[in-house]
Amino acid sequence: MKKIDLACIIDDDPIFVFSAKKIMELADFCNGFMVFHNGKEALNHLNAIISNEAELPDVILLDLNMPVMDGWEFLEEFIKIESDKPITIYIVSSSIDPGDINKAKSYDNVSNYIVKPITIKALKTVLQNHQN
Amino acid sequence: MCPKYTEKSPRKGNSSYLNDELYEAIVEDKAYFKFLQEYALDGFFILDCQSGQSFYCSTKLLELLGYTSKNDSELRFEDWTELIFTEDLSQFKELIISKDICEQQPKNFTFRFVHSHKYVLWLECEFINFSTKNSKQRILAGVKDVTKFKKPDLNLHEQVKRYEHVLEGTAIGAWEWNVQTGETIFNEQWAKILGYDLEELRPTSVSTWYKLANPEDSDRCQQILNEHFEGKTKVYKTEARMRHKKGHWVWVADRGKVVSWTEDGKPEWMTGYHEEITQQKKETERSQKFIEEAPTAIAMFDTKMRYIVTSKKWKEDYQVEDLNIINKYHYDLFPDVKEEWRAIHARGLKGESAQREEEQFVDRFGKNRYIKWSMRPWYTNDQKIGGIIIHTTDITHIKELEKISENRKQFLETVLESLEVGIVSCNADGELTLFNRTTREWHGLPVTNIDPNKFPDYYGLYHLDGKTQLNTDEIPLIQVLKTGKITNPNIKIRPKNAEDRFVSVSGSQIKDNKGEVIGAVVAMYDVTPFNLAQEKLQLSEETFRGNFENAAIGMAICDLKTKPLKVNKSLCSILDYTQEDLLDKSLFDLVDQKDEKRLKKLINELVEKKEDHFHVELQFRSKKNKKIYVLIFASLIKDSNGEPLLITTQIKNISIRKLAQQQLNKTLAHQKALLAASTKVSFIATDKKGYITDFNRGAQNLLGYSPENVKKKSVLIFHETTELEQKIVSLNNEFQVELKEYDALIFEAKNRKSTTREWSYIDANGNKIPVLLTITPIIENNQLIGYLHAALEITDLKEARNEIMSLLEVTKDQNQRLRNFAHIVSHNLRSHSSNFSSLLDIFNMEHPELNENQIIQLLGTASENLRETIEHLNEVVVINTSVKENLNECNLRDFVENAVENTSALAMDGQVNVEYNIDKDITIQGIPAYLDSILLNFITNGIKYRSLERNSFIKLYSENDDITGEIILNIEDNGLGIDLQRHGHKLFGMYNTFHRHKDSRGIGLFITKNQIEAIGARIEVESEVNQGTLFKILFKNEEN
Repeated sequence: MKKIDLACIIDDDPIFVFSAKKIMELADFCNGFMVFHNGKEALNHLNAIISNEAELPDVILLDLNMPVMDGWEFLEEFIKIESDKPITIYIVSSSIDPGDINKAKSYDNVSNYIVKPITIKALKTVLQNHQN
Repeated sequence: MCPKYTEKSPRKGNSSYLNDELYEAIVEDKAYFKFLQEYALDGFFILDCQSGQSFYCSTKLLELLGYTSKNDSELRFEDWTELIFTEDLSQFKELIISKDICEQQPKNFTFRFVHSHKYVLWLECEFINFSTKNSKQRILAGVKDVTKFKKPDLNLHEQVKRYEHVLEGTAIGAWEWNVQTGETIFNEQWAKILGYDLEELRPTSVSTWYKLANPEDSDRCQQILNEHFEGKTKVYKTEARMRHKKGHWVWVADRGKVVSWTEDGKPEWMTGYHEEITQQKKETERSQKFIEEAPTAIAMFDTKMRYIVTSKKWKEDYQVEDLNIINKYHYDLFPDVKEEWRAIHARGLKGESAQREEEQFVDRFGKNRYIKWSMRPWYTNDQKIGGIIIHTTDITHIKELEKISENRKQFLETVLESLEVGIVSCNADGELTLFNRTTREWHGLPVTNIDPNKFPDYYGLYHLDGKTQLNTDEIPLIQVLKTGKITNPNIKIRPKNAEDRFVSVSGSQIKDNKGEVIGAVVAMYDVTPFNLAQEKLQLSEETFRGNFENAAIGMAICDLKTKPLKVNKSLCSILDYTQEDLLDKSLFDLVDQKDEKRLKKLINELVEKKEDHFHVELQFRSKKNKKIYVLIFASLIKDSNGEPLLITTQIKNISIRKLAQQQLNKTLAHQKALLAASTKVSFIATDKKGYITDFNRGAQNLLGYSPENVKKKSVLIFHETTELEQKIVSLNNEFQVELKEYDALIFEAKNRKSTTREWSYIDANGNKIPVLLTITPIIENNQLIGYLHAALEITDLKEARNEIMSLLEVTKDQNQRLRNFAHIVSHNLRSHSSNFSSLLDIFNMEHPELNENQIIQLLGTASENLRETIEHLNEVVVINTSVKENLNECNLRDFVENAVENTSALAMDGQVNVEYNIDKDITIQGIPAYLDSILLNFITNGIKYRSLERNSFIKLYSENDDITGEIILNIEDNGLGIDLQRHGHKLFGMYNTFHRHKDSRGIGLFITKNQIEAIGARIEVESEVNQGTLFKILFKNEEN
């Protein structure tokens, strides 16, 4: 299976980030990844990447509950950014509130909703979808 | 024939060289001569292919084409191409440049040429190439006119083609049918009408038609066909249904005709066409339905008076419900139709309309009937009369009613005739319409229609004096007619041929439904005997005495000093004295002392002629000194000089009434005392304007005013202006009224409705007191005389309510916190838990050698338990938030059925017999997912905790609790049971299990109970260890 070039994790929980990285390695998910601790940070960096024409991530794993700028706010801002490269966004949250899950469906560029903990199996599915 | 030399006509030209060349060629080679002889029957032409323009035409050919023969050889056409029919020109041109003609073999072609008169001639041209020493590429053509052969053939061919085009264009499906062999040909359109391609139907034969035709139509069609075969009809014409490829029926109009017959006279070939008329048919059916269902009797006939359609009512009215009358002749069905009506129908068919409001006829059962009818012609699309429509209404029953009225009239007339009262009536013009027997006898006259002005003279109508004749306006009948009243009810009739009579007259106007006066009636009573007696009547002393003595009322005739001169028995009995006793006393002796002055004053006024009578209520004393209440009516009698003479008194005992009144007063006082004594409730009575008339002890206590301070003050002094203003605004919003403060306060009470609401009273010290104030109108003799303001202090109530409100706030707050808790569970706890399990997974993967380490294993178990606990917590939290809005009506039986089905495998596995008996009409309020979960939980629990010592069952059945209106679902098993004594209190708690069973989680019943309560139901349980358990789920009645 072809790896993803660059994955992006937006999550403020260092334990999650740690375990996600580990699992990504174990699942042989991607060649590289970038990590941001909240929506604002991610948005700033991604904007900078676009203006410097550097490499954009293929996949974003987005947490919902974060300080400064949460996942929803990030989504609102992110859909305004114009980019040639298609970026797949997965919401990865521990919330199982049906309200959140339904809200996620309302965004066109949100591919799926993954309930934490993230597993190798889930990542493989992401990878598979990405190939298709 | 004289051709016109127009611009386009061939002109003279120099092409005769071609003729010369031909001559040369003939000289050189006799074959050309032969050729001309053989082929040039109608002339020839030569073409110079070198120049391309030169064209020589022989004289004969020119004549054939309608051109002059003068100087023929000189003719040269500027554009010979005009001679050739446009459509053939290109072919002609192609031919002459082609190599075909270059060969020495004659070639035969037929071209159409155009005559100078612009018609077409078919010329068969035999072409041959020739050349001479000096010339090359000359074409010689011998011409033969074949028009007369070509014409018919080609015309027919063209026509056929044209017709085929027409058929295609008109969506008409053509067919040809060999009646003898069954061979049948359909065109493409025929198939298309039925949704097929012709190809799909091949091979076609008459059976193709049979297969697609509607069998219901076939008999009728066959009949029409036979009629055509027999020569009865010129054309076969029918409408029938055919099966469309998609399965529905298509209506087609089918027209056809036999076109050839066999030698022995049988029909052979028949051709015809189909036209789809489904749309028209539907419209027709619709109109037909419309008429059929019409609530009145309608029938539509064609020009031959055959029924086209009728309404059901028509069939009912004419009792032909059972007959199929469509297409039948009306006169066949009803042979008794009157000649008159037949004539009317005939006129209708000529375009006349007619109607009649009422007509009698004898129906076919011999019954006399009345109908109202109308008839009008109807027109076809091309404005021809298509027949008539007849519309009838049976009015027999109305006529019967009229007949009853007629009988009634006769009856009343008889009554009037036999009465001993004179009754006369007239119409609005004063013409007599009734003059009964009694009246006729009194007047001794027959009735004559004369001018009312002559009535008094003719009928002998006089005033009571018998001398003055009545004026026209004084005639009672005329008076009543004109004014509705009679001013002189007593008149004298002095007829010429009968006795004089005094009559008393009463009368009234006769009005129609609209209240218009249409006449008058008077009744005259003979009062002659009475009047005569009165004339004789004289007031005798005896009569007076009798009356006086026996009057029910006490009477006394007194002198001016009130000493009775005469007293009657009633007075004696009222006062308990004898007549003799009374004659010795004066009224002043009899009256109670306290009323003596009053009586004296009144008598004096009487005697001094200031008054001529008085009446007064006084107390008298009886002989036994008993108080007697009397009403005295006294009047003065004067002598002939007008001086006071006597006083007559009438004295009525009113003691009983007086006592009753006293009793009433006592009661009133009692009530008033009660009112005053009520110290807890404030009662304030006011007049209509709000000025205080009563102010009880309660009011004093509440408000701190004394009654004296507030008497005649407005109740508004107790009210807060701001509250009143609020009420003014709210009334204004509701009723659009502008009110002053007081009017707003009593707004509802003024309309005689008592109202209760909270107000604030302001007491004497300016303190605000919350009260519940009821304002009630006080009604006396149906008159509003004031209002009663009853107020109850509600400070305590108010406080209690405030407390409830603050509790509510706290509860809301707690509810919010619960939601936050739900969020914490759902999110924060889960994220920690998921981190744990992730880290453990990674650790396990990275350090597989430590998998066997007990601590790591226990950590794994702890992590899994944490995850599960959070999941359960979350389920519970979700249940308890926002359920109400998701409630639906659920059919209980459907849900039970479903749950039993879903657990059937499990039940079979555990050999548990699950039965249910639920009324199929029971619906409850619930959330489908919860209901499913609840039922599944109970059934699986029942299976799980079955007893292995006996045949297990689970029974689900419903009951109604008539008292609470609840619907009870019983779930009964004969399983292990639960020791309720020991575990009852925690049966439905979280993480409690009572059996050592491998699947026991201790969460099921907890969640189930939560779900049950979330949908507003409740649960009860009965259980015996090792006997079984009965769970009762009590659903609220859905209507409540």
